[in-house]
Amino acid sequence: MVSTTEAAPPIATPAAAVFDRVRLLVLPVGFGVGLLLLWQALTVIFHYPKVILPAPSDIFAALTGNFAMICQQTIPTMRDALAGFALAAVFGIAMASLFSFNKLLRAAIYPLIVVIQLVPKIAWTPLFIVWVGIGWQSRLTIATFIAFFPIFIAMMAGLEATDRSLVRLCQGLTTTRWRTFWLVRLPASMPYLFAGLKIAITLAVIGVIVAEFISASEGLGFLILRSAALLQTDVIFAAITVLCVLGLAFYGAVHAGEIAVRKWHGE
Amino acid sequence: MSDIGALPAIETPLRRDFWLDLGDLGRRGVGLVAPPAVAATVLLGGWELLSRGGFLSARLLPAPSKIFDTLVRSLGVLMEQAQPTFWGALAGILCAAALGIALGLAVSYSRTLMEAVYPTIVVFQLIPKVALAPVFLLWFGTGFAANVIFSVFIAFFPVVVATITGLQAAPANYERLCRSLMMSRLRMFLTVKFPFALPHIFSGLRIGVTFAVIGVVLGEFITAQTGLGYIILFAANNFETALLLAGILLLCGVGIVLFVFFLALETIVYRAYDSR
Repeated sequence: MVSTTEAAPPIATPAAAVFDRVRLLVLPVGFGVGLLLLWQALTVIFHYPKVILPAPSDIFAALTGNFAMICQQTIPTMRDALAGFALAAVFGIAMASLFSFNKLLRAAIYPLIVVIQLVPKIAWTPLFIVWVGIGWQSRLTIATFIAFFPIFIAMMAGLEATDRSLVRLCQGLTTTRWRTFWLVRLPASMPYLFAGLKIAITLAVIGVIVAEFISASEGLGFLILRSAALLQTDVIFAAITVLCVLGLAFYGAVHAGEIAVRKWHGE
Repeated sequence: MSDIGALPAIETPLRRDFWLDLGDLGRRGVGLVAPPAVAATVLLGGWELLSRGGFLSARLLPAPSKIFDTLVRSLGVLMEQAQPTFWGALAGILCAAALGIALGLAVSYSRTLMEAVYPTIVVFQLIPKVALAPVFLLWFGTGFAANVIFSVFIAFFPVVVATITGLQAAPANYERLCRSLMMSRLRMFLTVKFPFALPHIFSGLRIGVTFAVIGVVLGEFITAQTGLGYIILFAANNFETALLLAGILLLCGVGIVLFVFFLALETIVYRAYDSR
């Protein structure tokens, strides 16, 4: 049988397509490298004191020189951030699902959560330290608290954005509510959920860092603040570099999870 | 006879009494507001009763009445400390808005520039910028200015990203129409691209407002000299939880005032665009 929908010939020649793809990669990388080179050149030419603005080469030297120490401080920060993110995901998804089953609960509690969500949540950090103490428990609580809201709100929006006619179809077919949730509402909410998870993973790291600024004797936040007190600016930037790399890696992991879920659902 | 009497019943949905309409609106409003109001009352009441009954430690979670009492009694001090926070956040978001929108416009002018710069901005958006707070204090001192600069730095990125996204939001057909009408780039920008970008820009600004408040409060946490952040941290260190919660409450007020300010601005700008 001859297929009637033959693929249209590509408008751009293969060479142009390759050039376009290379361009999309080369331009941003070139810009980033250019910024770093400019930074290096400026610090060398104007002899900025290392205390104020260390050159990228100084930062790299500080990173390799203190690598063991930085790694050691990275572990508690990442542990708390990831555990907080995981807890927030569990709570957020569970609560949003519960609200999608019970309308009264949703009408009563959801507006309150939206209002609480408006408060700058970083400001709650000292309160959690009063409640839970200055140990890792308070950092975990703060990370969970901060990461909860985007996940919960995104999941609520996703469950509500389900195609009405699909839900009505399920009702017409007398599908149970649980099956409707599992087969229709949950898959429809996935893009929203992952958008929320992506925000939440960066917020979880921020929450732990702020808590470590305020009270901690370990972790990257503590290292940054201590290095600031010792005027070791190169160590601060080395710690921030590690933080950025890990933050991007976490974000990438959530993104990979999204792609995996999509593929699994599509098949 | 009876079928004539039934006629007005058909007419009612077409011409409804104004008061009837208002009543319906009110009923729907009550349906929307009543459940959360009841839930909030139950929560606050239960909290109050539990702490009155001595089930909650006054040191860890003082009763709502105690918090309100503290808020009223220390209102003078709290308002005085709210000033640097409020003005700092306002200055922060205004500068971030000006810089962010300007950079977004500049970058969107050329496709090459955008492809080069946009990924870098997105990466900056993702990394925990909060960690840079101590560096800003090292650079700009521990005063009001350092807090504002840090808050500009934090609030800037959502605005830029929103502006760039918004300027790409105009449907391609509109742009094609403009081009076939030989419209100048400037006019196309003013009449098509910018109006389509406005909702995105304002949603970026709304995120930016909360970020600006966070930036100022974080600066106050670290330097601990003035502001609501200082009060909150001071109260936490002295276990004055009522004062701490009163400080958070007032900070919410600051956030809400700024948020409403930008909502009002949004309405005004939209109306200005509609009337043209």
